Amino acid sequence: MLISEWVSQRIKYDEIEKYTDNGKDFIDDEYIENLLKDDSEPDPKLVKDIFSKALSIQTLSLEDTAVLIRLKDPDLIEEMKDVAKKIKIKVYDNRIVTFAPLYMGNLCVNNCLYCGFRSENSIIKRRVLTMKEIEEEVKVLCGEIGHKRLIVVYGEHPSTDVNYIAKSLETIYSVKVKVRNGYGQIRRVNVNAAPMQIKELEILRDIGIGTFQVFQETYNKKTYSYVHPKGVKANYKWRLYSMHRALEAGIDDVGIGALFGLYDWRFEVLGLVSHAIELEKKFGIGPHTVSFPRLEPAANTPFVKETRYRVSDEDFKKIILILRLAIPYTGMILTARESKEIRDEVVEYGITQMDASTKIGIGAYSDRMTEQELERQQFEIGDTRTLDELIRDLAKKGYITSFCTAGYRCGRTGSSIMELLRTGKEGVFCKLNAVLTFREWLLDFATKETEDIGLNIIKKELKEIEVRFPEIYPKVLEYYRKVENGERDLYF
Amino acid sequence: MEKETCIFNLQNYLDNLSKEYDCGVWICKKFGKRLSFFVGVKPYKFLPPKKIDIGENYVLFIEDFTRIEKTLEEIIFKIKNILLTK
Repeated sequence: MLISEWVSQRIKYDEIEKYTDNGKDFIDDEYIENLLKDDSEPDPKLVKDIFSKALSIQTLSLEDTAVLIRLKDPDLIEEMKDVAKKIKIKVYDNRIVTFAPLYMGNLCVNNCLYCGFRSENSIIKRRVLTMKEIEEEVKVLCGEIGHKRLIVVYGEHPSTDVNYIAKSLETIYSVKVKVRNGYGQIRRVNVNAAPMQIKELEILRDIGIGTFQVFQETYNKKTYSYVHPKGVKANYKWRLYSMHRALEAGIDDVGIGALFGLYDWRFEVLGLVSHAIELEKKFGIGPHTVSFPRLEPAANTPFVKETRYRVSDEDFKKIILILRLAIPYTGMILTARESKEIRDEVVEYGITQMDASTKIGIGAYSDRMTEQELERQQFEIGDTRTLDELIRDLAKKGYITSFCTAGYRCGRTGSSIMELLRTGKEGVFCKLNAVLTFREWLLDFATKETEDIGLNIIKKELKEIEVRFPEIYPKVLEYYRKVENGERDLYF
Repeated sequence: MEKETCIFNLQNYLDNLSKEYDCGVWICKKFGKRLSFFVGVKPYKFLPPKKIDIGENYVLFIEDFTRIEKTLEEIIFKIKNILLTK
């Protein structure tokens, strides 16, 4: 099939219109712009009421979120940091889940102005991994680094269509590597790909996908049209309703995101919150994760330097705080696009997931690339710490790293997990499974220095479990000992 | 309609089981590694759940297995019967 023919068959208009309100989508540009016109400092009492609402794990309205956007009072912003941290502990406990991105190919039919992989960027070395190459990548990821969770990334192209994606997921799940004391295996594969048709999403559902992620990039329609001049991606609504189709197809863990730097960050925050509210309203299921990457330099991509909407570090920190409060139950992903310094600071604002030992060149893990090669990458990464280093740094801050992938393997998905998250019950599972999976990782992959620091964290966690949950503590200890004796993949 | 009746009946049955044995009991639909919540009483005792295959497409989770173990066969038989009406 010709590429142009493939492109022309991608969009199913009936799979857009069925979700709209008489053709109108759920992003009300005019209403959002109007909310943002008011720049006055909000009444502190109102702000405190909003803090209380967020602390009770209720999704904030657009109006409430706009109030937080307007907030400039340094004391209230400091208080907002405390609130964000409390929410994170209540919903997810003090664990950080780690993952690695795995780029499968860089062929793409789209020509997004900000992307290194855009179709007209002639300096990029194009390549799609074969199944054998994927296997080699995964062997490094789960057998040498110790990752249990991946986010696999695909360009929109017939060479990485749904059949390729399905086959690659099967390949990843099939890899099992003997390691120091147990075995390494990827237990959850999340997918970041182009919008798909319902029947295609059903294929991914049947394979056992983790979370399905599609980022809207920008929720502002005018900007969207400008930065996506051609290709399938030029259709705003096809992308906007990706998650509706995924949920309808039975993939009940979905991830949304915006690329900050394309338009006014305040608009994008309200766009993300609108998206969460819409999914909750239509399906009773909000986003499993929210991503908020900032635009980063990419090879031969002048747009990145020219944009007037680049987000400062100060605004970036505010974005994270506001999103943490506005969608309090959601997982928040902070990637290695950001520098070590920024990540170390904002992890305190309610982040739940981070990547490490990150390589985003196609085939870069098994090629053992030590330097970044922009011609093979979508953008430049900012934090090059290994997983061992990140875990150690997190442990020094009192965070336990979790490799838990239990949720989607025992039905804690969709509306079921929503309730568990809102009531703080999921946080208990997070705590218990963090201890077990972290011990596994320390036994199988850690350096001596990291193991020592890690064991101190585990000791503290076990003590807390003993005090808070005396009735389940014996079971936790029983499972902990089993892990120490070589059993793997045990969970609550 | 049959599907809704089936879910309603399963929910009722699992609610009763949960009350009787004081633990979460729920059924998931199987999609490869992914087990999506289908019906039942979510976990609340924070114990590792016992996983029991119900045919090719469903999995039963029991949070406090030791309490239910003796009547397990009967429970599976009943669940399969309700699922057959779907």
